[in-house]
Amino acid sequence: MALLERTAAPAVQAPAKAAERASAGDILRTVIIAAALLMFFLPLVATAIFGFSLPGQGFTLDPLREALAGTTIGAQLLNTLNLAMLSTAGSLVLLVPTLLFLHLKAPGLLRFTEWLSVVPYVVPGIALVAGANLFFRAVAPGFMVSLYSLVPFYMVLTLPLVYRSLDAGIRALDLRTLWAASESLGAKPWQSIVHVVLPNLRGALLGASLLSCAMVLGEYAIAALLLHSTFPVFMVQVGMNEPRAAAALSFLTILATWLLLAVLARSGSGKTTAKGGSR
Amino acid sequence: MTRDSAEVVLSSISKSYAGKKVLDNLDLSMKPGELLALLGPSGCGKTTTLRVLAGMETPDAGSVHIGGADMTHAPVRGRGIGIVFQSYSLFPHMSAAQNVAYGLRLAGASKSRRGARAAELLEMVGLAEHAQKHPGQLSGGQQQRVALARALAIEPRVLLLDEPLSALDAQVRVHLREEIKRIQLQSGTTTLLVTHDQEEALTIGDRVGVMLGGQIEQLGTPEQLYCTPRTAFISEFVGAVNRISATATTGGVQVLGKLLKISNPQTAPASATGLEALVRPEDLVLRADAAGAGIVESAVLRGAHSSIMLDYQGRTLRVDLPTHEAAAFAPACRVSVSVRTGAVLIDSAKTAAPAAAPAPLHHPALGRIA
Repeated sequence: MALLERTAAPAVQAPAKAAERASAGDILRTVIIAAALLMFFLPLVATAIFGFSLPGQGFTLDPLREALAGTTIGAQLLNTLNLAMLSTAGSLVLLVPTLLFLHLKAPGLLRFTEWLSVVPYVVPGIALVAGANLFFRAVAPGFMVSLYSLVPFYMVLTLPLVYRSLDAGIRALDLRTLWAASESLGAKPWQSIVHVVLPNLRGALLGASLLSCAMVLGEYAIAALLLHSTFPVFMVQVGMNEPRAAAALSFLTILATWLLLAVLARSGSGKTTAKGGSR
Repeated sequence: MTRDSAEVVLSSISKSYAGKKVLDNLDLSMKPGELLALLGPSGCGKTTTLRVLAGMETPDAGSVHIGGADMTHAPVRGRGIGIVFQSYSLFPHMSAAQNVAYGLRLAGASKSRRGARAAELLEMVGLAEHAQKHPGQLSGGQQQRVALARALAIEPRVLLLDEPLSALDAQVRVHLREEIKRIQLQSGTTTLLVTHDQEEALTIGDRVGVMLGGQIEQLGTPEQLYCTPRTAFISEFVGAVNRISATATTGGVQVLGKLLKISNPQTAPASATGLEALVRPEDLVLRADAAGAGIVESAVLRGAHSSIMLDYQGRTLRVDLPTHEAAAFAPACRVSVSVRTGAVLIDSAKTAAPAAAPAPLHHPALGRIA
């Protein structure tokens, strides 16, 4: 803006006009961002107020404490965190080599696999569970009993997000050239992946992990249908009897998720700069 | 620096993509320690040749021998080659020194040896003080130097340069190609340079191969290619030429009133009429002559040389001469034209070319300056 005013200075009326226009733009911008923030934070604040207060009593943790008394929230939370980590790790281990192979050796197939990766969006979770139920009950009845039978379902569920995030990351690299360069310097495929590809995919890996974790942390339908006790299932159960406790819990969950995202994003960018500086 | 430079032999290589023949029974051999430049228009198969030699493509037929060993089906990493790519190929997360040391790290060299070797090579490419910088902090020319150092770090038996300078500015390109020549001489590594820039090929190649349609049209020293091209295509590709109508007579061909030998008896058309002689601009001589058939149209300053463009019987001819001599020929001045050499290359007349259009005017040594 300063530059704008300086260049306009010689003309007599121009500076005033430019300033006017700029200030009008400023006001509009402020209004838009204020409205957005209001719409974003109002429900959140309302949830918090509802969850952490009782009529005539002001701020209190009583509803939460009462609802949680006698439950196993710790176990369910741990279950969900385990599931998030396992599904994310599973997706990455499966998809990174697959996508690298496709980009290097079969780029013609990418269009097909991209289409394929969207299928989980199209097939409803219920259909997936119903089909899997029928199949596994007949073939391996014990499989669905284990909590970790959810991992493959979650991997399927997060596939569209993880695929897209990794694919974008790989496309941003000149993978073929980097790969050929690494290979010509004597690297075996795994060495190229570890020393060249993964360090340059850090952003995409982080993004894919965040999306996958966030999705698993909030997944309710499949877990409930398969009668597994995860944190979202627990929240819904609590909410049926104790709406205030459910509100308080969901507010805390949102806060926790934000913190997690912030920590992950921080550690990701922190590593890059530390490496850049020390070498 | 001593290194065992390998002899390279490609024999009867054929390669097709989706039914389109890219390499057609190509034979190419490189002597140990020489720099061979492959030159050609885009799509002529020069990059595919390099990729076959590197092992990034498998030929449909034919064999690749490096240092006497059959490498046709060997993986890239087993061939003992170093490659510099057209696009910047440095690993973005590593510093220049780490990039150079990467190959040695894979080979299990000790940290101190790696560091010493990387420092030595960065010194050789003139980037010692930039060793700790990351590729993002280096200019395009510096990145390609690091890539060259990285390729040489593993002491390859063959060095492959895949249009390494084509992404750089003209000035950097000219400077860096001389550097490449110096470093190649110093290291003595057998080197294949692929380029579409005839100036680059002619200035640094020990030998130059011109490719067309998946085959090598002519392979020879830069002088042979420039002065005695085998075909009209090569003559026009490696430099500027004038097409001047010629008549076949016994014992040669009549050009601008002078009887000349035919330099390409194998490829010259057999007919006696409809012929054109291909004469380089510096092989024409101008003489101020009030009765001459040529009229000077303009003069183009190209540095040490100037090009006089003149109208000669409805055609535009280009004559190159030292700039201080060019001053004598002002526009509209009448001149006579003669040929300096004793032999010319003959081709059938290009009917499509209108009389006013000059022959392709990319002179190898001067094209950039113009």
